[in-house]
Amino acid sequence: MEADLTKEHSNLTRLYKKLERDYRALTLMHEQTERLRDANEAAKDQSNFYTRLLLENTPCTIFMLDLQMRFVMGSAHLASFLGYRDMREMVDRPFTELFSAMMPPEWVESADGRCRQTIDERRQVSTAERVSLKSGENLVLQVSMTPAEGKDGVCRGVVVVMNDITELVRAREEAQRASTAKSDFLANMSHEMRTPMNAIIGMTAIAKTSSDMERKIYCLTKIEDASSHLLGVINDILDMSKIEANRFELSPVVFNFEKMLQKVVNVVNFRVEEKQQILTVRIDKNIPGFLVGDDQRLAQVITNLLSNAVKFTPERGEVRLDTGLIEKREKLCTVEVAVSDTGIGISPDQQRLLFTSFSQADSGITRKFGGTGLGLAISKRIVEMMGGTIWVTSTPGQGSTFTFRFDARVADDQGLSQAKKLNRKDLRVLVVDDAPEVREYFADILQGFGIACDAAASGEEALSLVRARGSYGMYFVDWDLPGMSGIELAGLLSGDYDQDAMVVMISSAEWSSIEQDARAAGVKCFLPKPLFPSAVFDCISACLGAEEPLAEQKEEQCLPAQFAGHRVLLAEDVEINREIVIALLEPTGLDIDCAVNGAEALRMFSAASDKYSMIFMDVQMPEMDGYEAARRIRALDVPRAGAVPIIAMTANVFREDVERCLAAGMNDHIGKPLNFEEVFAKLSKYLGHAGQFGIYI
Amino acid sequence: MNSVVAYTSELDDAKEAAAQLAAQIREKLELRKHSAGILFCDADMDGAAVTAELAKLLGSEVLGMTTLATLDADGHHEAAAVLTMLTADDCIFSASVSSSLPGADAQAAIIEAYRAGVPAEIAPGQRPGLLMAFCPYGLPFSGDLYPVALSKAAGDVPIIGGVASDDYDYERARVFLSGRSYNDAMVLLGIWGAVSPVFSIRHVTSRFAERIRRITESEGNIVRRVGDETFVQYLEGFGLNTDVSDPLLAFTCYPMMLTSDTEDGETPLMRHICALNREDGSGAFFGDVPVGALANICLINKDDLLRACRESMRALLEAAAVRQEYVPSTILCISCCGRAIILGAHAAGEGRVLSEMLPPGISLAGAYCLGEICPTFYKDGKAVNRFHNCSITFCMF
Repeated sequence: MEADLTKEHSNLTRLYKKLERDYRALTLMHEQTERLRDANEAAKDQSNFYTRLLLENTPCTIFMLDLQMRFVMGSAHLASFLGYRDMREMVDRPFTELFSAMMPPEWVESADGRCRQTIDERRQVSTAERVSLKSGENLVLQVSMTPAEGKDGVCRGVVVVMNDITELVRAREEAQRASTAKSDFLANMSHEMRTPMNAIIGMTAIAKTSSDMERKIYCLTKIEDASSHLLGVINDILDMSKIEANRFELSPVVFNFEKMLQKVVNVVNFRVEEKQQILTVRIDKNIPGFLVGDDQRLAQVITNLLSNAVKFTPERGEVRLDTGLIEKREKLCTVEVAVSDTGIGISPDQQRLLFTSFSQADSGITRKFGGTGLGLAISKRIVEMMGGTIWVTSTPGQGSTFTFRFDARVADDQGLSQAKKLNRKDLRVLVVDDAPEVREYFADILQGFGIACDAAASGEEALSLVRARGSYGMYFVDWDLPGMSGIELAGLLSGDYDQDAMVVMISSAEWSSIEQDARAAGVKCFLPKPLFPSAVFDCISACLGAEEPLAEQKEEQCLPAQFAGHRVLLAEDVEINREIVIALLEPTGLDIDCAVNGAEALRMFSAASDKYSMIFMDVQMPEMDGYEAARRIRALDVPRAGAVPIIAMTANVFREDVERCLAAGMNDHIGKPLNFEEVFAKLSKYLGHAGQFGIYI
Repeated sequence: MNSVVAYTSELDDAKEAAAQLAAQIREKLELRKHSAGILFCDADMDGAAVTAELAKLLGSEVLGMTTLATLDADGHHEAAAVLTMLTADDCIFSASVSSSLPGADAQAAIIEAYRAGVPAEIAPGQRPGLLMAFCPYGLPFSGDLYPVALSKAAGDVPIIGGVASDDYDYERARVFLSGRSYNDAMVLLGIWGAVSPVFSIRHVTSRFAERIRRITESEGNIVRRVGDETFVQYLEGFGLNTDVSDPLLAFTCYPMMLTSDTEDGETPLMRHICALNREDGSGAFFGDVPVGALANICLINKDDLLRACRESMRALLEAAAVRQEYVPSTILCISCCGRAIILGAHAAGEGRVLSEMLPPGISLAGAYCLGEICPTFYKDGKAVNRFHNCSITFCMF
C-alpha cells in the first residue's frame, strides 16, 4: 500500500513537473506570439503605407478589379485619367462604367472581355494597342492583365497595368526608319562605289587590250573621271562619319570670296556645258573681298548645291548662284548664298527629309541621278558650324532654291582687299547681251570699277547706240545673241563702225570652239561666263594695257617647275605608290631614291644626309612607321637632320593625322590620292627655298 | 530482420522496468542469431541501470537516449520508456560509444567510435547498411558535426538519430549503452548485412514572418549579422523579445528557415535558436548557419505540424512500398521536441497520426530530440546525411 502511494506520488510529481514545463513553454510562446502579431500589424501598416505611396505617385495606370469586374483599388494616375478626384469615388464601380467616359465603347467591351478571360484562364494577357480616346487623342497603350491570385491559390480578381507607350512607339518607329535609311544608304554606297570601280576596272581592261592610242587615252580619261567620282564618294562618307562621331571641325583661313566661287564654278562648269545649261553667278559687291573662314568647306557646300542644281535641272535649263551681304557688324558679316535652278523641284514632304543623313528626297532619285545622299546633310552641318542655317524653297516641276547664310570674320586689311579701280573715267563700255540680268550685272560690276557702261539687248540695238552715241572704248558682246549673232556684230563693230574697236566676246561656250570665227570677226579677247568681277577687271586691264592683275593671282599660278640637281628620298612601302610618285615626278628632273619602310629611310638618310633635298614620307609602313622615322631623323646627329624638309605623303588625311605628322617633326602633308599640282606646289615651296627651313636647327 | 517494441511507465524502479520490457520482448519475439535493443526513455528513468539489466535479461547490447516523450504503435507517451528489440540472422548489430566529445577533437572521437563499432567478422572496407546515432545535448559545437564526422568515417551510409532531450531542464539528457550513461559522448549502432532502410523527412515551411534577410556574418552555428543588423536586432525586428531566460523555449515556435544555393540545389534548412548573446548581438543555433543563406522566421501551428507528420509518414510508406525485394519490420521516428511543445495540449497528435497510419506487422518507436539526423534527398536523388531542427524524420527498415 505504502509502495503504491509512493509510486503514485512519484508519478504525480513527474506529471506536475511536465505540466509546469508546458505552462512555461506556452507562456513564453504566447508572449512571443503576441509581440510578433503586433510587429506584423505594424509591418502591415507600413506595407499599406508604402502601397498607398506607390499608388499615389506612380505614373502608371494600374488598378485591380474583383471577380465581378468592380474596381477595388488603383493608382492616383488612373483616377486623374478617368476624371475622378479620389480613388475612393471609384471603389465598387464597374469597370465598364469607369472607363466608358474616356475610352471608346469597343475598347471597353474588349478590355472587359480580356479581364474575364484572364481570371477564367488564370494566365496573364498582354497586348499593345492603338486607342483613340473620346477626346480625340490617339494613344498606344501597353495593357497587361494578371490574375490576382493569393498564396492560397484563390483568384480574387485581376490586376491591370496600362502604360502609355505612345512616345516609345513613336521613337521606335523613328529608329526603325533611321535604320532602314541607313540600310538603304549602305546599299546605295555599295552601288555608288562599285559603279566607278566598275568603270575603272572595265576601262583598264579595255585600255590594256587596245593598241589604238586614242582609245587608250579615252579609257584613261574615263578612269580619271571615275576615280575622281569615287574619291568624292569616299570623302562624303568620311565627312559624314566625322560628323556622326562629332569630330568634324573647321579650319579658318583668310580667303578671297570671289576666287573661292570661281573655283567652285570651274568644278561644275563642264557639267553645265555638257547639259547646255545657263549658269549665272551674281556676287554682291558689298561682300568684303577677303573673309576669314574655312573656304574649303564653304566651297564644298556651294559645290554640292550647284552640283545638285545641275544634276536635277534638265538640259538647257538655268542655274543661278546669287550672293548677298545680309549684315555687317564691324569685323563680322553675314553672307547669304542662294542656288536656284529650273529643275524637277521637291515636294514639301521630300523637303523635310532633305537635310537628314542617309536620305534622298526619293529613293528613286538615287537610281536615276546617283549620289550618296549625304551631301546636304554634310552641307547643313558645315553651315551650322559656321553659325548659319540652310533651307530650301521649291515647287515641284518648277525648280528649287537652296539658300544658306553663314557668318564670317572680315579679314584684316593687309593689302589683300585692295580696291579694284581703273582710273579710266574716259572709258565707255557697251555690253550686248539678250539676258537682262547679265546686262544689269555687268553694269553693276563696271560701276564698281568706276567705268561708264551702256547696255544693249541685241546686235541691232547695239549698232543703234553706236550710231547715236559714237564708238565705245570696249564692247562686251555675247556670242549667242538672238537675231544678229555675236560674231556678226563683232565683225560689224570692228569693220564698218570702229576699226580699232576692242571687242571682247562673252560666252559660256568653249573658247576654242568659237575662237577662229571670233578672231576673224575682230574679237580681241574672250571672257567666259559666268561673269566674275575680277575676271572682268583683269580682262579690261589686259585689253587696255592697264594695271597688272593682283599679285595674289599670280601666286596661285602653278607652273611645272624644274628641280634637276635635287635628290629626294621617298619612303613608301607599296610598290605601285612608289611607281606613281616616280612617274609623276619624272618631268621635274628630280632624282629619287626609294626606301620601303621607315627604318630603311632612316638608314639611307643617316648614311648620306647631305644627299637629300627633301623626304616624302608615307606614314603607315611595316617595321617602322613614318612618325617614328621622322622623329628619329630629327634626332640624328648628322648634317641637315633638323633642316631637311620631310613631307608626309599619306592616305591619313584627317586634321588630327596632319597634326600628328607635324608633331612628329614633319614639315608638311600631302594627302593620297596624290594631286599632281599639290605635289608640285610643295616641291616649289620647299626646294625653291632650300636651306631656309631650319626650325629644328 | 524482425523487431518488437515494448513499453513501460515504470520509471523509478530500473529492475522492474527492465523486467517488464524484457518480458514483453520475450513474449512477442523469438530472438535470433544477432540482436540489439534501442531504448527511448523519460529523463527520470535511470537509463544506465535499465540498459544494464536489459543486456543481462536479453543477452544483447542495449543503447538509447532520454527523451521528452516517446512514441509507439499506441501513440504518444509522456513519462514512459519504449524498447525496440531488433533481431536477425542475416544482420550484425554493433554498438559503440565515443570518448568524451568536448575533448580536443570531437570529430576524431566520433570517427574512432565508428571504427570501434566495426565487428571483427566484417571484411575490411565493408560498410553498414544503417547507422543509428544518439548524441548528447549541450556540447559546445554545431550539431552538423555528427553527420559530417560519421559520413567521413562511414561514407554515404545513411544515418538516423538525434540529440537526447529532457523536460527542457537541459541537465538530465543522457545517452546509454548497456549499463553506462553519458552526457558527453555519442552512442552508435551499426547494422551490418541485410538491411535496406528508407527515409522520410518533413519541415513545416508553409507560413513565414516575411522578413527575409541574408546572413552576412556567421561562424559555424554562431550568427553575428543578418543583413546590416546584428542577429538580435534582426529578431527584434520581428517584434520578438530577446531578453528571455530560456531562448530555446521562447523561440521554439519561431525556428529560422535558411535557404541557400548549394551545389546540391536550393534546399531549405530549419534551425532552432539555442542561445542569444545580447552583448554582441549574436545567436547560437543547434546547427550550422552559412553566410549568404537567406533567413526567414517560420510561423508554426498545430495543423501545419500534424499535416507534415502525415505527409512524411505517407511518403515513407510509399517509398517502402516500391521496394518489394525487402520486407521491412520497423519504423523509427525521430521528431523535434519543439514540435511536441508547440502542439501543447495536442502533444499526442503526432502519435495518433502514426498509430492510424502504421501498417500491420510493423513495429514503431519514436523519440523527441533537440536535433534530428536524417538523410536529405536532393533533386538528383542523391542523399546526404544532415542535421535538422523542427523536423519529423522516419527510417523504415
